Amino acid sequence: MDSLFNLLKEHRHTIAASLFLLVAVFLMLSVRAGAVAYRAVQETVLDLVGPVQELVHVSIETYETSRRTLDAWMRVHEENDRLKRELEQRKVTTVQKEELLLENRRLRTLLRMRLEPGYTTVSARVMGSSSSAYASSLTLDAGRMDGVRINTPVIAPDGLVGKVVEVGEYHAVVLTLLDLNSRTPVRIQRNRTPGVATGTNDPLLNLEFVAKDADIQIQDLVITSGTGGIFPRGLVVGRVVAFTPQEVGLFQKVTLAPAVDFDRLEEVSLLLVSDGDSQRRVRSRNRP
Amino acid sequence: MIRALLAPWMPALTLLLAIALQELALPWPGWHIFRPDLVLIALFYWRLYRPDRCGPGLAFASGLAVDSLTALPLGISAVTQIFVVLVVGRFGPRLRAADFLLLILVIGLLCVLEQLCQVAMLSLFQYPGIRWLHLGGRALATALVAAPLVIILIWVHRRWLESA
Repeated sequence: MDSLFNLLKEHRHTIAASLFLLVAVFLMLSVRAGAVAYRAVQETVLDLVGPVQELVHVSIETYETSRRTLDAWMRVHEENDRLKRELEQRKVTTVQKEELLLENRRLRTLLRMRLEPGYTTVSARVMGSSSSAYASSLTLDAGRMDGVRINTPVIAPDGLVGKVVEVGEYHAVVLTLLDLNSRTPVRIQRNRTPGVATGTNDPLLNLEFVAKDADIQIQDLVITSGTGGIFPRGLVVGRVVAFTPQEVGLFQKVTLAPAVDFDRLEEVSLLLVSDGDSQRRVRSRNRP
Repeated sequence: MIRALLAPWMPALTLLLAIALQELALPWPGWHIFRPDLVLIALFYWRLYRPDRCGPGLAFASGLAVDSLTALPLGISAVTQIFVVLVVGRFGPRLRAADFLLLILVIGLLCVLEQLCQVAMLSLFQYPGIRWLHLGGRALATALVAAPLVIILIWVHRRWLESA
């Protein structure tokens, strides 16, 4: 008995390592994203690491803001002139946009089309991004307390960023369009050809399940189709940059450049379905 | 009193800080490629110089934390970090006697091996392809950052663990 105890004591590190390895392999093979255990781990980690990241991020952001402010002061006159010119141009386009908006409303009423469910937005800062070359995710400083839920769509001014895959109290993890596991139902805006935009872990996306005889052109705008129930339709995903008709098979190979520059994302908006309850929470904790 | 309470947790706390820093989104060009593996350096240091405070359990926990933040399948980084702890533990006496430059090379090599192991395991689900630029960039950044980070860890070690 003593010898067995001594043997165990002598090799305790190896035994512990083997046990932990087994548990890790078991988790890897059995736990899928969305499982209760996985969510519990993610929530704990998010709530532990989030505040530390926020603290570091605020320091870096303060430095960057000071640098930019100083830089802007150096070029303030030049910028002022440019902005005045831009404002004049915008005045014209704003009136045009208002006209188009009114026309759009009139036409929708005329056609009695069902409008997309109303969305409200909450803005969030990008605190973290995946360090792995084999995953593409972002950590945001908005969570359950802001009304964020699993599958909440995330957008930037240029287009769709991805969807929330994990939510903590004050932080959330977003799976971006670039991730290998990302699948987004889309359409080509020009001719309504449907497809699925898939991530490749690279800066470009694939557009899959596009019929072989579909009319595709370079620079075609690709938008969300609204099918699948996660993303509202009409969000810009990207533009076609290449396509290769395949000799065999039913589909052609299409490559997209995402509209969003994922390397420079600093702020994003989360689209929350506007029910009364979540709206109240959002208003009470909306960021400037 | 506080020091005595915190001292045993110092390796875990530095690892937590390393994870938070490593997973930061910074608006710097090239950060995506040249992002150092701070967790690997911290694990390497503590396993080498305080193996009693940094075992497979800590490596497992830090691996799970990295996986959940990066949206990788749960357990991938846990496996590779236990692997790192085992390798460093196996060659610990030799590494402790080695020159600092050699240790930096070993850290760079471990970084490459860790990433290759991750690709191999990810291939069980779907083959992501080896991204050589990221692999090389990360190993290089890790090796370059190792020296200043180890100096900070030595300071933490002396200040919190040796005088406690």
